[in-house]
Formats: sequence, structure tokens, C-alpha cells
Amino acid sequence: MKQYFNHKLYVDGLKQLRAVGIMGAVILLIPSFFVPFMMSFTESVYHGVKEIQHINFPSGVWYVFALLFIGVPIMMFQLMGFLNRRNACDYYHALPIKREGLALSFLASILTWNMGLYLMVIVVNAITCMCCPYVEFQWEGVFVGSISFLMSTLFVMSGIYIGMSVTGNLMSNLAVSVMVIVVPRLLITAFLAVMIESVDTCTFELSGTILDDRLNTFTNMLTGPIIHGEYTGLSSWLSILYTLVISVLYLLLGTYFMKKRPSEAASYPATSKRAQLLFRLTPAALFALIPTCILFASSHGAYDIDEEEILVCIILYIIAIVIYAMYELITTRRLINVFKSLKGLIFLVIFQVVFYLLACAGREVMLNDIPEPSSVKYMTLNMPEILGANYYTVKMATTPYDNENLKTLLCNELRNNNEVIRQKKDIYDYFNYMGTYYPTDFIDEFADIVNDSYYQRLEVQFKNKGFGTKTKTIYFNQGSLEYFLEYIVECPETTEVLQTRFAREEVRDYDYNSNTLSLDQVYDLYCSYMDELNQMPVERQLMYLYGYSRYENNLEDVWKNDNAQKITLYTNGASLNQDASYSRSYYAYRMPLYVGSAFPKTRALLEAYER
Amino acid sequence: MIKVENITKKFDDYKALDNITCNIPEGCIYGMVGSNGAGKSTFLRVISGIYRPEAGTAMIDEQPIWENSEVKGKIAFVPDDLFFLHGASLDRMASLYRASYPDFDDKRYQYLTDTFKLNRTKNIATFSKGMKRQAATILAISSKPKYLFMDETFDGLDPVMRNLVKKLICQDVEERKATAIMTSHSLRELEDTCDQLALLHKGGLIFESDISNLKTSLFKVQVAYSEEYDRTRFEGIDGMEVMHFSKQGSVANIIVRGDRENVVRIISSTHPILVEVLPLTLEEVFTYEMEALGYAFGDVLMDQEV
Repeated sequence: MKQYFNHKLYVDGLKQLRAVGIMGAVILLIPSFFVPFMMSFTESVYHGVKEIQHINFPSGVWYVFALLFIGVPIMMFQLMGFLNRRNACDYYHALPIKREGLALSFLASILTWNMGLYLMVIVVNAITCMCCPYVEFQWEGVFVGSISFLMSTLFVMSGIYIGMSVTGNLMSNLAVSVMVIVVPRLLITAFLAVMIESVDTCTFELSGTILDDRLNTFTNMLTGPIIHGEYTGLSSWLSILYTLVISVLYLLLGTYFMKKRPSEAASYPATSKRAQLLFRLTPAALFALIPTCILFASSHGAYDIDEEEILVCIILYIIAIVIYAMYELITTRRLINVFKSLKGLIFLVIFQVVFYLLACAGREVMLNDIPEPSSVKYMTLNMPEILGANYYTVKMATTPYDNENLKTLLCNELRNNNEVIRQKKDIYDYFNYMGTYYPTDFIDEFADIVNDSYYQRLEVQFKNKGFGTKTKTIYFNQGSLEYFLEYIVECPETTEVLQTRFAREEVRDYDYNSNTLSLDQVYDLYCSYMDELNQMPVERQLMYLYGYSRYENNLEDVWKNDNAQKITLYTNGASLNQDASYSRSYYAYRMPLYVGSAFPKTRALLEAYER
Repeated sequence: MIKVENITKKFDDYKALDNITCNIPEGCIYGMVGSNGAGKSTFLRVISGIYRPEAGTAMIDEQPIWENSEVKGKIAFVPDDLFFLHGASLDRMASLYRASYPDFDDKRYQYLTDTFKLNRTKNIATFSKGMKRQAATILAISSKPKYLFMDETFDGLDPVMRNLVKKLICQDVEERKATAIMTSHSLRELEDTCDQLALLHKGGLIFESDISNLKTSLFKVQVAYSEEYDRTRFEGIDGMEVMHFSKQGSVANIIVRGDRENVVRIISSTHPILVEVLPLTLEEVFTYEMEALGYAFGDVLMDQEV
């Protein structure tokens, strides 16, 4: 144990970081103290009552993330910076401590300082919240969030550890550290983007597979907002476990490089010529992936590449070569090295070819990735584009459907979809005769998107009877959509969903001609409306809830002819499963009540309230 | 005991150490001399466990040095390019040494800082070059190493401090049977202190010898003849190797390797009008050995000693 961790050196590491740590503490103390106070002074009046505001830790405390993005790198360069200076490197390598012991003791010091500062922010925030009226510190989620934050810190630290172990100057440290931390996930994301671009049924939802970007608690901060619209990495134990495993692997790899690292590598951009070639290639290869992806998508999509795209690709390849040369020039600061390094460009070409071939293989795998109905345990159906988006759509997206007809239909439809894609036909054109089935959910934000679409699609998660889940986007044509809706209406799961009620606390606001109702009254109206609605056939319930009309005129006409009153409830969706991909994109859901002749009890109640 | 066998150390294509073999016994003060780039510092870094040689083995007390914390715990290395933590005082550095070296002796540290009259709480960055070397020496000696390696030992030290450092090293060797390896361009300093001397050139170990042997095996003969003569008169004679020949008027100075009495007898048999044997300083021995190897920078080395 002593050879892997030296307690005295660990304490010395803490001492060496004292100045940086104290400075960080001062910087973090300011917002930790002032933000809750500012929140308490910022009025949040809700229906006449000043509302309590919550501080969700750590996801809602933006400044604590400065530790990850600034604190950890600075401390790493401060404490492990000896690797960049020849005399310091010689000094530390002469000490009677094994290199792994030296590195791991120092890394422990860095981790301690960062987590100490993190805890300080929690404590200061919690204490300040106790002094601030109307601001509450949310302890729920702090534990999991903190473990997740610890994993992110460990991941960033171990990534920089690798970067510093294989390079010998600051520029290279930074460049390679960023490469180690970000590039693997970037490559996976680029690969997935190409798949989605060339296989329309493919989605970014890859729960449970290594390709799921949400698995890494740190890189998800970068990819999450782009791909899923939010950062979810702080709340998942699977992500924590994955990030821990990756961090440990990185630590082992860093230690291996540390042991192999010659002391004389200090001040050089890389520990060997091969390593330098790899570092030079990586940023250039990443940039060159953009035109390669364009070329792949064009050659495997419905459209042929045009001259303009070819020109763009050529320009992007030239920029990639310039990046390749610039890396060499910046890190070695010798022009002659740039010319010497040009022969390495062959590897850039090889990488692009390999990626292209892998993408071809991946596309084939994706096209053949069709579940057998018999192997599907259940499905979840995310269909805002078909039924419109509201509380019950999202509720439906989290409900497991186990219906044999539905399974067979969706598997077959997926197979048909993939066949169209394989033939390089445009799936949007193929399914474009959906005009008569446009939903008429005029109250919904999503209606615009639906009405602009020439297709009807839904996202289906096929949960296998064994391990794993497949998430696919399925496009319907006229006939298959009709069958799909019939099966949905038949399913008992749909009836169950329609009988659920959201809680009174979830009602945040409402919209009605006369704003004289209290929220309690609005909620009573909702319950009454739903009680009456549940007495109707399922198909009709769907019509009222989603604005979907199969045999009648659209709902707007029904509503107008009936002289019904429309009350729109706004809910925060707190009781909904936030893992449902659709629900994550929205803060609140709307729930329209069409209080007309079909709802006599509710109408009477409304009139009573209005009196 | 330090045992080095066939070690080779390369930096890219440059061979800094080329197949060096040597044994350094315990309780010895071992001096290393050589021109710039001869490999002295590299050698010390290899036996300090900083560099890993591409070939060969370096052992201390029959154990490999590389990544062996037990062996490295017995070594203290004072490099030519000194390192101190940014903004650190001598006390701060001592705490780092205390954390790293199991035998760090606080009493000795206190004693040495008092002896050298260094301010323990002052930022080392404000010290002069010589004071920094004193500080590094104090820290190294306070670690009570069994093996003390000092590169450019006296660089920047004034004569008083040089003597003090020498005294401390000798004291350590005597009292604790420590082994010291010192490199220096100042041959005069090594001459006073070392038991053995090794000469490195272009990464190779040219020779190693006891100081006394070194100085007696190479000597200067002043000779004069009534008739005209040149170098050829002394070449090809068994038991006498002419390293250097210079002549002013009828008097020639010859640097000779061989047995002193035998050489005098040989030269006397040629009936010179003058024959006198003069001892060489270590500087001269070094210079002539280097010259024999075709090294042309002897004068530069002599300048650096001053």
C-alpha cells in the first residue's frame, strides 16, 4: 500500500496547493453567500403569495462547476507541473518514492482540496439559506449529486493525469488532456450523428449501451444540452458507476505512462515521436471527420452530393491539414518540425478511411437492428407528433405497453422503414400522404411542428425480454397509422393512463376568460372533467385529451359549435418520469379542458364557481 | 557498493553514456571529471534512479536502483540545476525532505543551517547562487544518505564554503561509512577530497584510478641534450609512453606514462646533460589524458577552474 500512497507526501501536496485552494475558497464563498440572499430579495409572487425558492445542489449551483472546469486543471498544473520542468522532474524522480506513489499521493491531495471546496459551498449555501426567508436548500439529491460530482472530478483529474504523463510542456498538457477527456465521447457522438443522419429510424436514445452519452457524468455536461436538451448525469447511479470505471481505467493508464515516462521528457511536447504523431493527428483527425461525415451521409442518404458540398469538404480537409501543422508548430515551436511531420498525414487519411468503413458497417448493423416481436417484453411509446403533447402523452411515454398486435405492427413497420432507407429513398417523401390525419391540437406548442411535417412518427423503446433496450423512430404511412391508433385504443394500458390524475400541487397556473377562479377550484374542475371523460369510449377520451379526431371534425370546430368554455391548466409535470425523453425538453405541460355539453357536471361546477 | 555494468543512455540519437562499467566501493569519495557533455551528470542521474538506461544495469548494494524506493532512500542527489518549491523557505523544503526521506535528521539540519548561517525562514528564491547550493547541500546531508551524489559540487561556492562542504562530506564518509560521488570541473577541489577519480569522455569511461596512482603513473620529465634531438628519440621504447612533447631551445618537457624509476633509468642511459622528473598536478594529468584522446579543449577546461 505504501508504494501506492505516501501519507506524508499527500500532506505535502495539500500544503503545496494551499495558496490556490484558499484563493478558490474565497472566490467560491462570494456567490455561495450572496446568491441565496439575492434570491430572497428577488420576489417570486405566485397567486398573491410570495413563493419559496429552492436551491437544488449541485445541479442548480452553477458556480460549483468552476471547480471541475477551472479548479481541477489549475491544481493539476500546480502540483503535477513538475513533470514539465527538467530540474523539478529530476528532483521528484530522485525521491525514494515510486512514481505511482508520488502521482497518486498528489492526485489524492488535489481531490481532497476540490471536494473540500465543494463541501464548503454546500455548507455555506445551506447555512445562508437558513438565514434567508423564502429560500430553501434542497437536501434531496445532494448525496447522489455529490457522488456524481466526485466522479466527474475524478474523471477530469485522471484525464489530465494521462495528458501530463505523456507530454512535457503546458501547451501539450492542455491539448492532450482535452483530447483524452473529450475525444472518445466526441468520436462516439460523431459516429452516432452519422448513423442518425443516414438511418432515419436510429435515435440518440441508447440507454444501457456504452454509446449513451449520458453515461459519463462529465462529458454529458457538454453533450447533454445539445443532444437531449439538458444535463442529466448528476442523478444516475449507472452514470456514476460508469464514470468511476472510466476514471479508474484512466488512472491505471496514467500510472502506466507515468512509470514509462522518461524524466528527460520534461519540456518536450511528447514522450516519444510516436506519441507526438498521435497528438498531432487527433485534433486534425477530428476536424477532418466533419467532411468525412458529410460525404458519408450524402453517399448513404436520399440526396446526392452536389458541387457546393464537395467544395466545402475540400476546404474542411485543407483546414484539418492546417490544424495538423499548427499543432506541431505551437507545441514544438520549430518550423522545420512542421515539414518533417507532413509525412504523418498518411495516418490522417487512414483514419478517415477507417471511420468511413466503420460507419458503413455501423449503418448495416443499424438497418438490421430490428427486434423480433416475440423477444419484446414491452414497449414505451413516445408520440407527441401523433397525439399532441400534454400531460397524458408524457404519461403514456412512461407506461409499458404489452400488446402482441402492437409489437408485431411496430416491428414490421420498423422493418419497412429500414427497407426504404436501405434503398436510399427519402423516408419523408415515402410517407408524405398523411394530410387527412393531421392532428388538430391547436393549443399545443408542438402543433406547429406536426403541421409542418409530412409524416407521422413516434419514438418506441423496445424493452427486450433479456437485457437491453432498443429505441427507434418509426414512421407511419396512412394504413399503418390507422392500425396503430386502433391498437392503442384497445390497450388496457391506455385506459389506465387516462384514469390517472396529476396532483393539486402540480397545477401552477391556468388560463381562462375570467381569471376569478382559485387554483383549488381549477383542480376540482379538472377532476370533475376527467371523471366525466372517463365514462366515454377511449377513442373519444383521446379526442378530447389530445385533440385527435379520427371520424369527426377537428376539435376546434366541435368546441366552437358547442359553445364550450376552454380552461387551460399549466402543470409542472412533477409526477412524471423525468427520464422520458420527451418530458425532459419541457418545464411545464398544458392540459386543456373543453367544458361543453358533453361535460354537464363540470359545466355546472364552473357556473357555480363563477357565481 | 555501487556496481554499474555496461550502461548506455541515449537521448534520441545522441549517446550520453556509452557502455560504461565501473565499481565504486563503500566509504569512498569518488570524483568524476570530464569535459562538457562527457556524461557526468547523466551518470549521476542514472545511479540516482532518475534516468533509466537503455542497456546495462546499475545496482546499489546488489539491488537495482530504478524505481526501487528502498535503495533510493539511501541516496541523496544534489544536481547541477537545483530545484526548490516555488516561494519555499529552507524550512518548507526541509518538510518536503522529511516527508520523502525516512532518515531525515532534524538536529543535523538545525546544526548545518546554523553552521552555514542560512536563514531558514527566508524565501530561497532570494538566496544567491552559492547560498542556494549550500541550501541544497544542507538538505541532502541532513537526509543522512548512505550514498551522496553531488553534481558540480562546488559551483558558486566561495573558498570558505568549499572547504566547509568538503569537510562535511569527509565527516560523513568517515563517521557513517557513506559513499560520495562528486563531479566538478575544478580538478583541484577533487584532488584534495577524492580517493578515486574517473575520467569520462564522450559518454565513455576513459579510466578510473586511485588519485595517488593517477598522479604517479603520469609525470613530467625535463631533459636536455648537447646534440640536436626531437620526439622520435623517445618513441617506441618499452615501458615508456610519451603523452606529450614540447621543446624550448635544448630543453624538452616530456609527459610520460610508465614506471618512474624505469623511465629515468632509460633516459639516463642516453646521456642527457639534464634529466629531472617533476610531479604533475591533477589538472595536468587530466589535460594530457584528454589530449591523448584527441580532445582539443584542454585550455577551456583550465579556464573554467579559476
